[in-house]
Amino acid sequence: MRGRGRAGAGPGPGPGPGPGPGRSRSRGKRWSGSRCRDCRNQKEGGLEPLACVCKRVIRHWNGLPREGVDSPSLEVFKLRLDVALSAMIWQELLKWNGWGYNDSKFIFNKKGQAEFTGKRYRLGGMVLPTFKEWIEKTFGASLEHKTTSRASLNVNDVPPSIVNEEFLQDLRATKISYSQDAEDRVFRAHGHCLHEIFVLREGMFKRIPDIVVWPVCHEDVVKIVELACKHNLCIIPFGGGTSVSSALECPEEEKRTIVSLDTSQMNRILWIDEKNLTACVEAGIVGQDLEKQLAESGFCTGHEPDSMEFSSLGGWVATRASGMKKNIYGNIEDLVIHIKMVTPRGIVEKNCQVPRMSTGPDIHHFIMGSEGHALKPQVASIFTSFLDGLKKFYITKFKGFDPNILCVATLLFEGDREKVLQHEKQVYDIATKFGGLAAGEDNGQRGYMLTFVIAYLRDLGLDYYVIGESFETSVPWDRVLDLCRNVKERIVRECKEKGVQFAPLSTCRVTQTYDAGACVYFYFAFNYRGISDPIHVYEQIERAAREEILANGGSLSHHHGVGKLRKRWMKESISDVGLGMLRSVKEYVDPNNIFGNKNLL
Amino acid sequence: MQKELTSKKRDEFEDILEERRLSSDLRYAMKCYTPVIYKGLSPCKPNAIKSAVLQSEQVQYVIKQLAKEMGESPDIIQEEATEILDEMGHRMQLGAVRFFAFTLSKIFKQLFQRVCVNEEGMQRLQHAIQEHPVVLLPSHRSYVDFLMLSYLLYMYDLALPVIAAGIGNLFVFLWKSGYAPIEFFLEGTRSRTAKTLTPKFGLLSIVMEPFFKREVFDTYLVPISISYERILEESLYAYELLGVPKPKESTSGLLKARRILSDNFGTIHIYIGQPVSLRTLASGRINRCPYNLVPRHLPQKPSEDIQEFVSDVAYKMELLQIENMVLTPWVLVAALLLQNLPAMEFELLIEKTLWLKGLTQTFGGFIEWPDNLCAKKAVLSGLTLHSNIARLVDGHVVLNDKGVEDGAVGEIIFKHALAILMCATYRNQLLNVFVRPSLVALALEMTRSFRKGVTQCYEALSSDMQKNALAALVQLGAVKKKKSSNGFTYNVNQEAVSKILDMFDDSADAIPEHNEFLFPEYEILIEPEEPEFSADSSVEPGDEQGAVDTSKNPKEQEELGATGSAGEAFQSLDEETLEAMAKCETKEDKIFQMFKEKVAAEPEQIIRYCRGGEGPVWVSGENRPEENDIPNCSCGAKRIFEFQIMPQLLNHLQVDSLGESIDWGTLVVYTCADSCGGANEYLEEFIWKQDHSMGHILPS
Repeated sequence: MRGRGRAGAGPGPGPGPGPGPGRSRSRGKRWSGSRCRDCRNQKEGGLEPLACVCKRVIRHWNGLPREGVDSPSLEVFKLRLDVALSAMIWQELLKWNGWGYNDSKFIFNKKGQAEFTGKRYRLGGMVLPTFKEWIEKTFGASLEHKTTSRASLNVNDVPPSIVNEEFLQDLRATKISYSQDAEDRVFRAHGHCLHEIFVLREGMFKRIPDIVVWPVCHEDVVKIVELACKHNLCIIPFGGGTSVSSALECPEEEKRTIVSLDTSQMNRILWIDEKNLTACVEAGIVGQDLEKQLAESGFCTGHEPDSMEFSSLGGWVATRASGMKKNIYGNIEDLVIHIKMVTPRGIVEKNCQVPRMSTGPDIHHFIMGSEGHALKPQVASIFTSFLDGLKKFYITKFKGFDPNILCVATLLFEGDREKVLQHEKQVYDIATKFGGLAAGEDNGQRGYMLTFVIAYLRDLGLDYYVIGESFETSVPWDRVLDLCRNVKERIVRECKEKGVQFAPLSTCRVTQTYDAGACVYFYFAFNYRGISDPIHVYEQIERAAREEILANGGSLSHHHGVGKLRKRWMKESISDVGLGMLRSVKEYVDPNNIFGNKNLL
Repeated sequence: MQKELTSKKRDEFEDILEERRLSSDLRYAMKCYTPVIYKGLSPCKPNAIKSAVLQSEQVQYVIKQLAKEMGESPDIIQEEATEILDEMGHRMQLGAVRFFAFTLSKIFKQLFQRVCVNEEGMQRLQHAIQEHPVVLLPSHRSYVDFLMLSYLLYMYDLALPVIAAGIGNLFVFLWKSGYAPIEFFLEGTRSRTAKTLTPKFGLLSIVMEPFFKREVFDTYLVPISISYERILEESLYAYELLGVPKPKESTSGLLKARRILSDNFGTIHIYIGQPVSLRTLASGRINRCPYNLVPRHLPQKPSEDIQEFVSDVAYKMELLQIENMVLTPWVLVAALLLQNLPAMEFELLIEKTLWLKGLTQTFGGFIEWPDNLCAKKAVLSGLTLHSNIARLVDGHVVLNDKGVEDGAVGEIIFKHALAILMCATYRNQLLNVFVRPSLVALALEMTRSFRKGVTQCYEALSSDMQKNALAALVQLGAVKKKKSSNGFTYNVNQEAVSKILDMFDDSADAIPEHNEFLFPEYEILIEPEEPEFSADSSVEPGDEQGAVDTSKNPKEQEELGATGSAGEAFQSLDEETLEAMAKCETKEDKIFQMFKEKVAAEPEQIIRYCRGGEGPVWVSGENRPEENDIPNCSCGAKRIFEFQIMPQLLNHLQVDSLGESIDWGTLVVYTCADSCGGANEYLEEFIWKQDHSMGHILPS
């Protein structure tokens, strides 16, 4: 699950060419050919770039001939075509080696000023006058020293797809779409960790999925898991691909065929129950679609992780996600009341949809945070809330208006009128006490949107020898300040020791608050010119920072999850016995390690 | 070798009194004093600090606890705390500080010739204070220590240290927030003998706690060595050691009570050591979990590994203090004088002083001896300064113990003891340098096989001494310490070891290389032998080979292995020979076999006792005594077998080098059958020595 920055309800595709609500989509490969890109760029207005679709369809058709040729009926053919088409349209919108939409990125324009492209975000087309100076001053980076990513994926580098013919036959019999195309497979071989993006730009993964399958409903998933058990394959579920814990990386030593189970075609809201304020949703739905579709009926979930434009419901459940509005709506574990999940052992679910039950330890807690481990959430019912009342944005600035040392807080009030006004007054009273003042809704909107495009910044940095990442933790209130200070200091020191020539950017903010503590987000980036193995150095420093967090009484992760990146600290985090408990669950549910992504345990 | 050990770079000293002698003390005391403080902190009014301290969770918690325990209202305790803070605050007021600086300038100029400080150390300290909270850890030889240190910090525009003395959490709070360094004495009290005392851990563990709880990013520990050419309290200490109660001490008391103001106390050397980062020391050693599970304002009993860590750090800090203690020529003179009482020829003293100087420097001692100063002058100036202890009479140096010529006998002895004790105080300063090398020397002495590998010599030592000796060896470069995945490995640097040995041979020629008379000590355990075992003398064919294989005891084999490739060849030969022997069994072998059988029940046995019993277990068929070989006792009674000493003893005594040391197969002792003679006198007994059959001595 992605938790980049802390934006929330993304402005969404807005007027852009994004697929409209209700349309199924997957995300994935970016089309290489420049003609396609040109073509799309001309069509910013809103119409589908038809010419390109045709070309792509033909290419896809050729690539996967059986899909069409073997179709037993026109209905099935149509369904598959739909899957293939929507997948490609969405794929084309996304960067293949960076964050987010292709048309949205930071660039330096001809005047050397930083600018954000595209029209998806309010920042689009705007110039950031002091940004260049900031990046030069902070990182010692220079616009003259540029790195370039490979323009496109080199198919020859991609490890070959090794799939058992018997399995293919069985798979075809189920009529589930699949692909062995190199680009499709590479797209599902990674999340958005720094080292993964770096590999995309400059190298190739050692191990990637051998085949991608697109189930469209619960029954498809059951069939796939059955087949995997029968043929002894390894399944790695794939939702939005926004993981930042190396969770999607294929274990190098995995000898079995790796099946990437892409949930993107399971993206429907099956029903909405207005009496109980619940909805039944398939696991593959992407955050922004979920909110948009619920909004049509006047509801929302209120779950807004920063990655909500791209991450999926299934991913949220698998990582124990958390969103910025959690103080009002709750975290994912507060929202989900029912999960139906396919495991190699069978299907697990509760017998009723009630807000709470006292039936021993909650089995949902084996599922939430299971990190794709033997566990594939299928259908989740989600609490919804009425979407009405007021939304108001504010910036509170604290006095002392040197913009460099200004402390800014973006606050979002949500709820009915009285509640918002009441909250507002409370906050202002506090602000006044410490000499702060309100900066108005407009500034608030802007701050809200800025936090959201933060994720795009890393791609710009990568072009200029700056690598960076964010990581998070949760910590009791009394330790927040000490932890922030110590971790930042540790980062600065480690950089110095490791030979980083310019002082790194090492900063943090509190993003979520609880009664007993807070979630703290760290941003860390440095200029790696002169360092031969920047990723290794980066990883060493990040590890040191994590050690420091743990030593300061912080947690291993608040909502990013453990994946493979933070596995080494699991024992320390939950004790030997705790780890054993989880292992025995895994052992029971998935004795043959079919879901073998090796996360968490 | 000498170069290696003395090449350790030390900073230059500067005399801080020099300038004071040239300019006005008053102006100095009124100088602009704006101490640097922790980065990011703004200077703060004492009142603000005071209320911050009082409001802190820690202090509030202690107040509540105290109130509960003492049954008093928290307000009263709060008031007490406020008073303590007021007192502390008063001390920190500028006026008081200035007055202090003024008087101390006057007094120090009067008392001491020079006060030397390493400027670089001060600069390092200045730097450290701005980075992280600093703990000053001075050595403690005199009451002057803390006055001098405060004076010094004022002089260099640093915040006056908070002296930690029993006010608990208050000072720690003040310190960790970065307003002032904290200062305390690891030794806890002034060392009356000038030997470094074993450290106290309480305060050290308190000041480490903020780091363990991560309330601070790091903490600097600064070892400070303060050495006195002549200690202000030298005679006070001697009196105290002789049982005369010590007078109550206070600053003014100390200075008033003495006519010392007219006396000369020579030079003080203050060496500010390199700040040691606690974070670096603790890296990888501290399990952080316990500190994460309890609110941080609650005092916590340190866990065992924390205690161990604190103790390690404390010892380390003391070693760092010792390292930079300055030794004066007088210290050498005192040491020599005490070895040659009652008098020592002046010329000889000079000669020996020079010799001892060389030796001390070899072991890293820090001697203040200007290059151009000739030995005679150095010794003389020492004698002049310490004329109350020793003096020159007719070309001989003698202790100055002739206070009252016609006093009572008791008084004369008392005077004499006083002089010796004072003298010893100075000699002891040398002790810190020599104690560790001496331990190594001792260790090497106690084993004769040291050339085969140093590790073995530690078997003779208790674990504490082992650690010390090992530390010394590491320090001397004889052993290299390497961190490996599971603990540490030590590698012996043969070259350095032999150099050290040579040094002992050359310089301390009194120590013989082999000491035949000092064997290591053991306790003998007595256990009865299982009778059924001795009855079962049949030899199972399968066992034979195995039994023979153990003919060399494991220790010996290890040693052989340690001698390197030659040893390996030897070992392989060993096995071959043994195999050959096992195949062609002789009568001789059978007897040896039986011997092995017997011994196998308890392979470590050294004595077999069975008076008048079935007789000894022979190692070979050769050279067994006939009945008339054993003479009768002097009382006329027959002598009968009492006990036999087994060859295993040779291993334990480490006299098992083949062909070099004494050897026996077994020693059989025959005693009078009538047990003649009284209980308390020594009687002559008869011993029969049987060697191993030549067939069993392996070719070498």
